[in-house]
Amino acid sequence: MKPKLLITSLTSCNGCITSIIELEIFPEFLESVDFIFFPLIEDKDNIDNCDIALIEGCITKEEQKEEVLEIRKKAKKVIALGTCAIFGGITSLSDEIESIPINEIIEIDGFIPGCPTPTEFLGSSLMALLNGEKIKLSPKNLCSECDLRPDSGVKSKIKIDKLIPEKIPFECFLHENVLCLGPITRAGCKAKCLKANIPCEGCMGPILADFMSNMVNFFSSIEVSEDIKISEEIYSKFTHPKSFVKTV
Amino acid sequence: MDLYSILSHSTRRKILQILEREGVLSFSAFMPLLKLDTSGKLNFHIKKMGNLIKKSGKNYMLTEEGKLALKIMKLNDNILSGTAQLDQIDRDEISRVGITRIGVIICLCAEEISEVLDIDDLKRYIGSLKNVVSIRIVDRLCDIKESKGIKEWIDQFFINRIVVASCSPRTHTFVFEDIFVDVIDVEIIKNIEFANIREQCVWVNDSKPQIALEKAKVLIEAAVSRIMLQEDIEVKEIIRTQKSVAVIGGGLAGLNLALSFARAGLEVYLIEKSPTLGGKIARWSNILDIKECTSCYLTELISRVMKENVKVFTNTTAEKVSGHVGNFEIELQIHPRFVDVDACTGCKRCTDVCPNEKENEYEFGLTQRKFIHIPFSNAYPYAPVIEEESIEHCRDCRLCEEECPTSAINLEDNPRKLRINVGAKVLAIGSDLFQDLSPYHHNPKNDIVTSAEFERILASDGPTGGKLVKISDGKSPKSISIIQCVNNIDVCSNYCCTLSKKYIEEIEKRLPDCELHVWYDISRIPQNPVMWFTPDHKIFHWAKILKIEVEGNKKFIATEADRFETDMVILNIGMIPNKSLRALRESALDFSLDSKGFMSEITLASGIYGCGSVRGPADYRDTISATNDIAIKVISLLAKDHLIPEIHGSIVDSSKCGFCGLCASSCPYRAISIESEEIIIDQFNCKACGVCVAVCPTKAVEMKIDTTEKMMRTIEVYSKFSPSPKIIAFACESCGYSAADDAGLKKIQYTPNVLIVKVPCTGRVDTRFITYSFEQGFDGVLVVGCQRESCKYIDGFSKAEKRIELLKKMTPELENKLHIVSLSAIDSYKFASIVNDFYSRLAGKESPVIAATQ
Amino acid sequence: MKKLTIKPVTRVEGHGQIEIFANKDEISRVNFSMLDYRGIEKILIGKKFSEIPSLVSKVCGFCSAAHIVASCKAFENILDIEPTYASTLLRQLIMIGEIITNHMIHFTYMVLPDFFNLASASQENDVKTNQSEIFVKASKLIKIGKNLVEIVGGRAVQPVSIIIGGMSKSLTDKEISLLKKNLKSGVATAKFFLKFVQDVLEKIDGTKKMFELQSPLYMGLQKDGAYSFYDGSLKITDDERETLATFDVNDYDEFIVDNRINASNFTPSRTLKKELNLLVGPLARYHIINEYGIYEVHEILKDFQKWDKSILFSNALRLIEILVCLYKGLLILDNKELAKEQPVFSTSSKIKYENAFSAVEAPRGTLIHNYKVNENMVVEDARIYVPTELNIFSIHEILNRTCKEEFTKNKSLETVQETAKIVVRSFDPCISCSSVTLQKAHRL
Repeated sequence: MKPKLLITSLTSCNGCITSIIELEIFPEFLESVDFIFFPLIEDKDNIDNCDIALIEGCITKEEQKEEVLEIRKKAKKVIALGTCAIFGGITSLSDEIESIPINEIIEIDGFIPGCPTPTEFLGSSLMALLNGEKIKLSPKNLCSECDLRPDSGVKSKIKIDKLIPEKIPFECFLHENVLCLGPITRAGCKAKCLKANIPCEGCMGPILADFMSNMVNFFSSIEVSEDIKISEEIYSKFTHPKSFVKTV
Repeated sequence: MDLYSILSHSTRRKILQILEREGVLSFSAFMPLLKLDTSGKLNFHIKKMGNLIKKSGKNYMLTEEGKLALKIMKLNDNILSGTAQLDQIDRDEISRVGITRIGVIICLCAEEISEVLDIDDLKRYIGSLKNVVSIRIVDRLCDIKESKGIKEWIDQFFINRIVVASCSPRTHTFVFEDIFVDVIDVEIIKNIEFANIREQCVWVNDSKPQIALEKAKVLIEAAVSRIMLQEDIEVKEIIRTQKSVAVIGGGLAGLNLALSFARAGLEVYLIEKSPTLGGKIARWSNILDIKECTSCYLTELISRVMKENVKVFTNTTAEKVSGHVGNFEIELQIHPRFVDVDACTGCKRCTDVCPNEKENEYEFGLTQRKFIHIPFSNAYPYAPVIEEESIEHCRDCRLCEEECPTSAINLEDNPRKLRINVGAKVLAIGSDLFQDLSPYHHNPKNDIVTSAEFERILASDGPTGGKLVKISDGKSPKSISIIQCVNNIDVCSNYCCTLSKKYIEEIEKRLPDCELHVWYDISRIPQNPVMWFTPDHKIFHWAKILKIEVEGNKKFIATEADRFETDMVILNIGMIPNKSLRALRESALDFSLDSKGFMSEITLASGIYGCGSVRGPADYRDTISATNDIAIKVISLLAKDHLIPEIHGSIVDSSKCGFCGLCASSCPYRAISIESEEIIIDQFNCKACGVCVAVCPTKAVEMKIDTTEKMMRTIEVYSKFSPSPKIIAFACESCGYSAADDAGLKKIQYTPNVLIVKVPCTGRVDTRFITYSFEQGFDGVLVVGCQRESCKYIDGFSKAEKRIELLKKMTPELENKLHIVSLSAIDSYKFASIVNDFYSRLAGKESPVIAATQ
Repeated sequence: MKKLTIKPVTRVEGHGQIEIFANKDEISRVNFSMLDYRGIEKILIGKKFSEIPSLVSKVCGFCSAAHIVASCKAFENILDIEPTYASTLLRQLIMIGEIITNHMIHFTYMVLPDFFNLASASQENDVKTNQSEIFVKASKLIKIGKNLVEIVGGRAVQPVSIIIGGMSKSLTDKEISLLKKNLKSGVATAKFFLKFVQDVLEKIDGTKKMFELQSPLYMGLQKDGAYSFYDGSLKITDDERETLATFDVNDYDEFIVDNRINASNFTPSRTLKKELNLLVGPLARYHIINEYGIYEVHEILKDFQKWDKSILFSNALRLIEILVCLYKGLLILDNKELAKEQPVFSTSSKIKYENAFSAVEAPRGTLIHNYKVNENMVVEDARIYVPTELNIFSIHEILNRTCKEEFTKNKSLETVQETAKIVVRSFDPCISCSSVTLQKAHRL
């Protein structure tokens, strides 16, 4: 019996699903599963019983809440696909619309973070799911995958005044005054942006569950120039720390 | 499969017991004994037994591992049922089996505590807590007589962890440690927790016994839960201290230090870069403050040093340093002198025959000297030297070699390396003198001299034979002008005022008719100069801008108002950072520099000390007092046979660490470094503030005692406290917590609705503690730390302040629910009123009146 | 009156719905609308300009490179700086990779089933049996495009190396030769698909008329009359290839009235003064240019000429563009300037113009970005005109016409539904992109 799969997207850019289609193993993947619902490439338009449901995107309206509740009923395992689904993602920067991660509405059985989900990590996570295993999330931060390292801590004050580097970095971006969210971001993307000389924006989401405290710990231990502070969201581009506010 | 999973099933435990009884048993014989109905079940369990049993032929029997498992199993049962006998039990075994048996001691403090609290109720409650095996009520724990009874109690109940519910651990930890030291463990600190039910409970809430009782319960319960979470600490690096010191620099500071160390019984290596001891001060005519002739003073000092068997290395530099405080290895490079100091008699025949001359740097080039020379008349060692740069020339000549009666000269001498081991290093290489003198037309031959050169003119062994005359013509000057503050702008030389005082006295004594002026250039005077003169004295002059003008051999002092001729100008120059300091720092020694480039004080922690003008401009008096200070520090450090690293410090879990380096950059003591694929925390430099733990994003860094888990558990237990609104206060041990204790000692009554968590430093307060406190139902969070400028851990308080500021900014609803305040340890009334005000704001009531009952 | 709702419209990027309003014997109206609103334009307001390229990359998971390039170009206009020639080559490589993957995914997973259905409806054949071979071949081309984006752009989806003023990453010799090898290997596959689509079109020749557009205005980017997706000027032609306007994108407002102010009152631009069914995308690009710049392609195109007004032709043109892009990519990779290039970071932050436009050809058509910044380099206003938004009137026009025609012919609402979907899919609407701005305005 092939496992029955459901892949759907809520409010999103479809980037994570694109990443699935672009996987090298996608043709084999198509062969080895039965899609009961995958509107992007399949004509079936009913949410039905399934083994694994992958949900991309966040919830921005009532009918999407109903949809995920329905999926929860029908699916044995529900997996949040991508940073929007698990942390709210880019839409959480909006003042107009509220973006609700799906795990605030339903219980989930795992998540594959990333904006979009990084290729290798996505591939291995899908394989793990098909084999009935759990998704392996790294307990380390992104710095563990980065080739740039701080110069043995000689510089004791980190001062940030840039969002984008002005030259090829020689050492850790933070020590070159460029904001990099690597320290508070989960590893797993192989630091591809950093290898392309671009600092981490935190798209893999927080390394610890209480993002608010991690973010505060981090940003208060570095100095950020007023010039770039104007964009408050430099603190939380992909993950809005709303969850804490609710409990207060 | 681990032992516990194997033994988790009763059938498998029975198998072990039966095999112990029967020795060997066949498969079919097992069935009736175990009352199993199918052979499948037996098969399953036998498979699960792993290596605890083995099969020989048809029979099963216990293995060695099986026998051990049986022993552990029994021990476990006996301990839990309390039926174990002392001689049966090895304490190590208990800890191996991992059983925590907690004993709680409640001290009545001679009725102080029992007067307020219902001790029976408290005892009932604490007795119901998990793993608490016994509660002991004592009248006064600090009474040494109690210790015997406690020892018996601990033995009787197999207690391996203790919670002391009594007075403040701040003041009493050491007292109690003495009581428990023989009975529990040498690393006592990890096995004892404290619940401060006196200063922070009954003494401040004595009119509300019900709430005080509830508070005491959560305080003790939190302590119990903390001790449960304490894991074994490995104290790895115990360093055997080398009873020796390296003193780098053989000047005034170095010599005095060497003498103190040697007299204290330490082995001393005195390392001097130049060929002789004495340093800068050797050139001075006399020592200002003690009015003593320098060469007399130095000769005596050096002879005393030599008498103490100090190992002196001249012409020597320190090249490489490795190791930790307590045991450094230093590689010395001994540069060739080309003269065997031991064989030389100091007859000076060699210098007499030497045909080659060059400028004498000791006399600032005012005189000439031979290639082979004795640097100055009171030099030590008193033996000639040839510089390496001249040696090629000398090897062509060799007249000295032929002349030497003792064959002490060896022109083929080579550099040598030597390794020494020392417990501490002191850097006393002094400073340099200000050199940028061209704007002053500095030229000794035209009688514009520096203070250093003037010292040589005054000195009896100097170029003028001690006569105060002009270098240009050998005549006495009719007028002398002293220019003050010839230095880098904004650095007070700290001694040119006192130096000019000496010159005035000296000149007036030697040339009573000489006209004398002392000039201050206002544009060069630093913000806070050290001034001794009286402004109305006629010889002192202030000038907005001051210039020296030279016309032929005539010299003029020009100010905006005036211009007049003078015979001689003395430039009173200041001290600048030693130019070899940076090179030393990069190549061999680990220390930091201050903003002006002098050695910084912060380095005291790493076992390297700076002394004398290497740390900034210093005169004789400053230097001597600094040497005494440093000598005491070093001697007391090395008096210990072992140095044990900070037991409270931090460790890194490499499975979580991503090498972001935030811990390293936030450490106030630079105790953390990143080396290739490892974070290294220097356990000697670590002072256990916990700032690194708070900033670590993956929680890979953890403190050994004040763990995050313990803090979170404390918050959870505290949240059971029922009064509303309730406040949690994170108070730093040195100030905030002490102020709360002080309030207790003064019996200041304040709102009981606050519970205090002790943190080593407010910098330890992870934002997560705060968010978790709110999640757990606290209405207000207070962070109480040191005064910003005098934070025990340098900037821990500022770090906490920043965190709270940002958290409030991001979570505006916390604006009135979260506060950070700074206190000093005696601000007890302030502490009480802060807590009361906070309480009243949260409760929407007026602040309770603070009253001391005593 | 009966209302039929197709929701979700499957095999379309994003969430859309089709509503069919039918009377007893005729269809009165067919509506295509987008269901999402993400408000990305509003998110951009108040942000520092250097953050924008990465933020707009989140507009769409399919054509993010087009958005990134468009925003970088707009800010380069604002700063009045020119990226180095080699930087523009690198950017074009990324866009080429994106065009190849996008077109191939669309063709394979969204259009192909329709083709099979259309073909099997017209006559018995064996195309269906080749399906798994087609998937393998398609995935090969998808991989070529993906690798190109990943190697030049830093990662496969939403590349990061394109920055305002330059590129943060350059190519090594080894990467260049690997990419050349990849692109070369794609040519035969692309030709295979072209042959395949030609066969299918032949088989459904009868439906040709039905899917033809009624006098649309084609708009697209072109450079000296040639195919260009990176730079050039915008051109509008009618369906007789008559040029109506050629203009710089910064004059966009002069030519196209902001159609979103009041969508139901969408008026033609002041200049054109004509009823306007604007069309962008592969078919429009085909009509506004004189040449693709690759001789071989024009030879192949000859066989398709009779289809050149049908929206179904777009599907063939996507394959043509894949082939063109493979060749273009190879030309760029051979360019000596490319190998010399080091990463270029801009340090300029002096504003020359407070307001600037930029245009690129995204896979689905002309994409226009427009930003207004203040002196602190903070975005005050942002407009993103996405292809699907520009096409919306053409989509409605043909959707209504074909559905009505179909219903008159067959009287079956079921076939009408299928036809509606085929029409919508041929436009390859990108609803993620549209969700940037479109809300209720476009539910006609």
